Amino acid sequence: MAVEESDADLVERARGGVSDAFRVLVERHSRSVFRLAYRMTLNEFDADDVVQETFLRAYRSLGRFDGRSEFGTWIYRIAVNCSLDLQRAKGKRAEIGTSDEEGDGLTATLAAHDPTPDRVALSGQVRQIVDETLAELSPMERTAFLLRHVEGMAVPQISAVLGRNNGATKHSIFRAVRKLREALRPVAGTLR
Amino acid sequence: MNDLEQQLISYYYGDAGDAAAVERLLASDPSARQLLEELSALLDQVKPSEPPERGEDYPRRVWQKVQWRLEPQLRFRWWEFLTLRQVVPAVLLAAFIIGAFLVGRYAGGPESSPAAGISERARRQILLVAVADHLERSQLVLVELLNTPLQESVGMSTARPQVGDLLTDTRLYRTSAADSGNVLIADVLEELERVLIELRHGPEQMSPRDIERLRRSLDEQGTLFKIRVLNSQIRQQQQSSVRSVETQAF
Repeated sequence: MAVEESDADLVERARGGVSDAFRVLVERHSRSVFRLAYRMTLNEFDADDVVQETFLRAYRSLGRFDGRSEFGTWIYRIAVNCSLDLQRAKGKRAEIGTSDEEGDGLTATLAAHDPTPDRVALSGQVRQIVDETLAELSPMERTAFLLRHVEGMAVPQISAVLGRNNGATKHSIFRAVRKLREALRPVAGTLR
Repeated sequence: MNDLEQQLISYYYGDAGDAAAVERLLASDPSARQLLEELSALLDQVKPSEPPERGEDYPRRVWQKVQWRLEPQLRFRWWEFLTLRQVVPAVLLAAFIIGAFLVGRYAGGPESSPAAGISERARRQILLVAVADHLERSQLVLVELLNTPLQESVGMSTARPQVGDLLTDTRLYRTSAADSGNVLIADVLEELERVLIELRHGPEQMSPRDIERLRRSLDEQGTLFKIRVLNSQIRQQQQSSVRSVETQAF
């Protein structure tokens, strides 16, 4: 059985100009980067753009990857920056203002992330409230919380991804939980 | 949020610095136990929607796009890439929009116009589809130029007719977008038009310096990024429209 080549070895070979090594890294990590980008942007098309941009930036910065962290953590860190850049750019575009007749939604923002009736029926009231509340969190709060709660990442790893200290990461998680608790208060009795 | 709540959240996730101390507190303080129960019940129920599925070939598709942008020497030149398959649908759509516009304007009033059978919303959707395709083709051109290796010049004689076609289409779509009040689209297309005019009337042979100047100008104005964001928003809107139609149908 063939042994899977480690990320570190692939990075080393990619630095040496072997594009096939970088291909393996892209193919190995693109799904998880997409999940992270989607958590941050809540938009699958933006997330796809972030995935591409992340690997482009990674390739151009391979020389600066010092190997102290895992490649996965490093690529996540780049994805977080790309997501924030994209959201800043979209924010600027939205400020310019557009014609948005008949709900065409070209300027749709996270705040307008209304769940469809199908989704509500399918997922129930709690999930609807959870999704809406998560959409209203800052990208940092949402990402910190989801990486801990859904992906099960440890706080130090999340901090490395977000480029913050452990205290700041924990506070983002606390704030997210507090807001979820407030939002779910009306249905709290049904949760037990 | 108080310290106890934060301690209990950390405890729930297994992140408490001193778990034994929290457990002692829980053993001696009923209100702490009750709060932990509440938090646990809440967090156990927090199951957010999963990110949309990506197909099995997603990693391969990502690689193809990344490779395309990283290694220009390994792929087709963009003027070869713009095959009839890409050009014909856009030309047909453009012809349709112009035709509908002209017929509507000159053929004896709105009652007799075939375009009258098309709702304003449908017309806007057609425009958006055409604009999205056009933005993608334009993006290919710009990315290709930006990725030219630093020491290489680019001969524009073969490419220039394609730039001319893109310029014509850009003007058409910009006018249509402005007429229908899509300010955002019109703005981005106007910016694209300026770039294409430069390419159309620029030197026959673009030197590395010319390319660097173009790269700087595109970077400063964020033209490529705006094109990508707009394209993404249009595609998203198209998908929402399809979902909406599917929901109504079922």
